[in-house]
Amino acid sequence: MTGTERTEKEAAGGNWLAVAMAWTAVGVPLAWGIYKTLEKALILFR
Amino acid sequence: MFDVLAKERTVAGPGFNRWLVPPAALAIHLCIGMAYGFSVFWLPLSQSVGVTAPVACPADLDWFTRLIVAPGCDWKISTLGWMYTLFFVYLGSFAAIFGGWLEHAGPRKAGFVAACCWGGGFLISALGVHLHEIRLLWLGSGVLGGCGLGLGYISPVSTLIKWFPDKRGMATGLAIAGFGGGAMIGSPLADLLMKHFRTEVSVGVWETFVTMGIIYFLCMTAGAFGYRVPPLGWKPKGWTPPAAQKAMITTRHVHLYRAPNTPQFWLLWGVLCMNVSAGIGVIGMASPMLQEVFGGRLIDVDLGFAALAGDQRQLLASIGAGFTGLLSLFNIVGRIFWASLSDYIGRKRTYLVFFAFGMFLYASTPYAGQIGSVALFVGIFCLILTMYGGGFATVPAYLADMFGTQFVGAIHGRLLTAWSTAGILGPVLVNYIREDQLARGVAPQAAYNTTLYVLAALLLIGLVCNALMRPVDGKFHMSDAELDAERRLAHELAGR
Repeated sequence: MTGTERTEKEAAGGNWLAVAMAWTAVGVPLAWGIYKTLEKALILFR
Repeated sequence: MFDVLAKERTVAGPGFNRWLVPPAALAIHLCIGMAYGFSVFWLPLSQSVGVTAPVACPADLDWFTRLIVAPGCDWKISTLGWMYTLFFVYLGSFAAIFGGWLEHAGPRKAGFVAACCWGGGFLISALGVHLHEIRLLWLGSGVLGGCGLGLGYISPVSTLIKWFPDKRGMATGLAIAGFGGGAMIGSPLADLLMKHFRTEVSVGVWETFVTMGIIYFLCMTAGAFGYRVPPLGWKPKGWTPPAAQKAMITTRHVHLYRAPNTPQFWLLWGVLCMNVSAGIGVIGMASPMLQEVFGGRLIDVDLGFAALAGDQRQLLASIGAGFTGLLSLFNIVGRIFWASLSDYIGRKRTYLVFFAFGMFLYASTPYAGQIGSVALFVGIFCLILTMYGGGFATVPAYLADMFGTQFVGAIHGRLLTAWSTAGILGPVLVNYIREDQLARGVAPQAAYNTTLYVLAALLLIGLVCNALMRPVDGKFHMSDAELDAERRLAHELAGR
């Protein structure tokens, strides 16, 4: 494997890590919001 | 310093992962989506002077002093509610006016300006609460915040469509779902903050506004700096545009200034306006309708709504609030589901489903009430809300199919005036029809039925508009020279 190929592969790996971090950053508050909403909505089914 | 906001600086380098763009868009939409959740502030703000209970204004004050100045007394919820009108009027107006600027300035600059407007609006509103000056609240969150809403809402549309030519609906659906989900995070957060800041002399609202303004500014700025535009001619790896071009997806582009001259623009305006008017109408009546139609049955008491005692009605109100929360969840799910599905079945067919199936559902709701099925009633409303959200989320991709991608963000901005119109039309229709029905002596729980049939008629108009959609006439398309000139203005040909 050449140096350039290795760098490209490392960049791609870093990219997916950044994607995971970005989705976590928006996903965690959204999941909390959904949880709070469902908690409130449960009263409908009691 | 402002160089970092320039569109040329946002062109993605080789190896950039396009999946980083939707979370950047979501970061902005989840913040501005709090516009839907502002009602969480009404009750505390309506007793910001009295703190534990509202202080009524002296009866001898003239209406202007009583409503606007309110010296030493509390604002009415109806006065505060004007904020919603300002939000949606300014959202539509600013999206329409500044859409063209966005295409040239790029999404990062637009996103950052939106962050300043939305976050700054909260800070001005905090000052308004602190000084007890309602005009500062309207100016801050209403006008300035409304501008932030408009710019923030359309900022990622064009960029996402260019990054995801193979999944236009899904990409814009993901971002626009954030607008539906903003209140789900913002409302409980505001509630927590108000409880935290509440003291014997303050309801904690201005402190909450300051905190949320700063949080929203930071998150939106992070989102704006996450935006990257693809280099001209970029395509997803391994993807080739379909060999057999579909008639309803153009490869040409229509200029922003020419789009309103096409019948397609106004037909789509009608499609969006009718879908949203009916949806807003139904959202407004969902919770009171559930309570009035099913009454005591919701809490296992064999009594009608009118015969219930105060504490029983309070219990019903919390069930109604839970129902509204559930609807907002289905609104979001619908945005992602229907917009993604439209990539496979086509936009026209997707709207055909919204209108045809929607009419059936609206007309079936009274039946669910008559047979006393809460599950069926709730299920119908949840399905309706998925299609309301789906209508918002699918329209950018529909526009891109019809008018091309060059000006899609700006044309979308102009189309959002349909939303502003619907924001007035839907509630006015629902309220007036209901008042008219009650005045004619119709029972309160039955008064909703006529309203639902009228809303179904709105969907019929939308169905006709959608059925009339045809590809845009070639005479409206930009020539190659015009396109080149426009791309130069939009800094897309830099370095060529």
